[in-house]
Amino acid sequence: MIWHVARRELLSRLRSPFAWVVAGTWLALQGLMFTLILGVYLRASRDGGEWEEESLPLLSGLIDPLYSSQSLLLLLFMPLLTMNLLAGEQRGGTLPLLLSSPLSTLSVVLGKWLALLAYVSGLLFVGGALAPITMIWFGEPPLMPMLGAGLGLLLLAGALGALGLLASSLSGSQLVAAVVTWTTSLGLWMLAVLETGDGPAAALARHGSLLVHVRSFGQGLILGADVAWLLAFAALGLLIAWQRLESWRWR
Amino acid sequence: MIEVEQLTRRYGALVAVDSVSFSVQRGEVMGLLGPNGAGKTTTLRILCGCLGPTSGTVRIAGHDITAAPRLARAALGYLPEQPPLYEEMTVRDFVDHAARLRLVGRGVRASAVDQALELTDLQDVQRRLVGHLSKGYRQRVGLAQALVHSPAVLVLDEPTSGLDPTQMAGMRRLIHQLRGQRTILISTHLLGEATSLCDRVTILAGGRAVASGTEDELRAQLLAEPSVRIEIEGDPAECAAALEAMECVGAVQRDGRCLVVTLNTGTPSARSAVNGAAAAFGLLSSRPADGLEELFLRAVAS
Repeated sequence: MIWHVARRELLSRLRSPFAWVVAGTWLALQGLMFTLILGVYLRASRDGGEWEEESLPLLSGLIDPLYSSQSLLLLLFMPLLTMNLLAGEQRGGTLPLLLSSPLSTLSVVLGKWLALLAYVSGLLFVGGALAPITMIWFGEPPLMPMLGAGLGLLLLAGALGALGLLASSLSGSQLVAAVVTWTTSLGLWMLAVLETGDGPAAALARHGSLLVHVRSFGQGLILGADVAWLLAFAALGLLIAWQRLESWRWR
Repeated sequence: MIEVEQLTRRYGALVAVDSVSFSVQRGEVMGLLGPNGAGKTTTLRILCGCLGPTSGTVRIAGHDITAAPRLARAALGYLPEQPPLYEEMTVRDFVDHAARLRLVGRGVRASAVDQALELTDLQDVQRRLVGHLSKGYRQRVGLAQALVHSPAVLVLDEPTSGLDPTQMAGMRRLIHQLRGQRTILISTHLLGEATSLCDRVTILAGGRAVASGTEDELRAQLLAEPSVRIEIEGDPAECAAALEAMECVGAVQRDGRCLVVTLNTGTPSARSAVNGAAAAFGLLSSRPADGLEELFLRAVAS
């Protein structure tokens, strides 16, 4: 049943010019960032730089910066990709089709979220395959950190997707949904600046910042606490979005 | 097939639907009549699971919408006033999607879609995008999605709203075809539509059901002195004198070759007696002098 909602969502997204414009822009920015990061890496490797080694480590010189750039693309684009998910149903008058069907509202929320993840995974791992292929072709990059970075991006996409879905359930306005997702995700990301020190603000940053829980994946680490935090973040967003959708019956 | 008991829906302090009760039998076509804001759409949205009731009971095909919502919704097809359409899909893909949402099995899904498209006469446009269709076609696509899972109950909210006269006639023909096969509940504020399509009507006003029944039953409920308009071949004066002498007749007024006979009682037997007496004067036609419009206005005013 979740699959029926996900199928329609994904097919409609692939038929939408907006999705292809986003994909084109995403891939162009991804390519540009990869070229810049690769250029910096090659220059630093040639010059020796601060590492004073024969060549700069691939993990800190390429994988981590690439992971960070992909994370930023997710922060930038997820509000655009999620703003229509439920607000569009409300504005387009298609909500009665879903609410009058035997499907549960939880199936609707999960179906939409999974379809979004499938599309974003396509952008990240199919469209973005150039960077890892280049690294594997010309060097011997450590595979586990690369897979860890991929897992981190998927978890971040899941968390931001759930946040966007929740924002999209708040009103019929896509603009409101996008702004809420942007401000919330950027706010949670930038909370990391308070991390240093001891006070309650630093504790809040360590526990609440998206960046704090995401950055370890780019450094070749898969920490159980970070995985659990991101999964819990996504689950909470989906839970609230589900309850919001259910509450539309009682307005 | 549809049982509504003491249904109430509040929006804060506003009572949109106030203790409404009615039932629709299997195969029957029931009209929900009422002016704008009477609570028709709210009632239908509750029946279809799009809104929750504040109190009261609704059973669809025996399933309580609160206790067994998914079974109740599975037995029901719903066409809202604005058809819920994904404009980027083709007609066939959209109806197929509706079939999936209504849990039509994979093995029979293609034939169910074919049947719905055939019934709504959409085969010729099945490959076109929904967003490129005219209003009349879009309404038919909306009906196809409501029919694709062969529901026992069909709920149509103002199905001819916004259509031109030709499209209206087409939509009414479609609903006529479904008569007897499905239990149908239609909301409308068009009295002609209610007369031509419905076996019975329930009139809503201010969120309350103020009258319910067939046209004759409404006449008996709402008119203290129902009247019959008859047309005869013979002498109207002689006929009027004969009718005035009858016990069930209160008064007779002449209107050209027609007579408007006010009855003392609204029972069908009184009308039959008047028709029998008028037959001796060459009865050409006999119909209630008060149409549904008069009944509707009286019900709403009451």
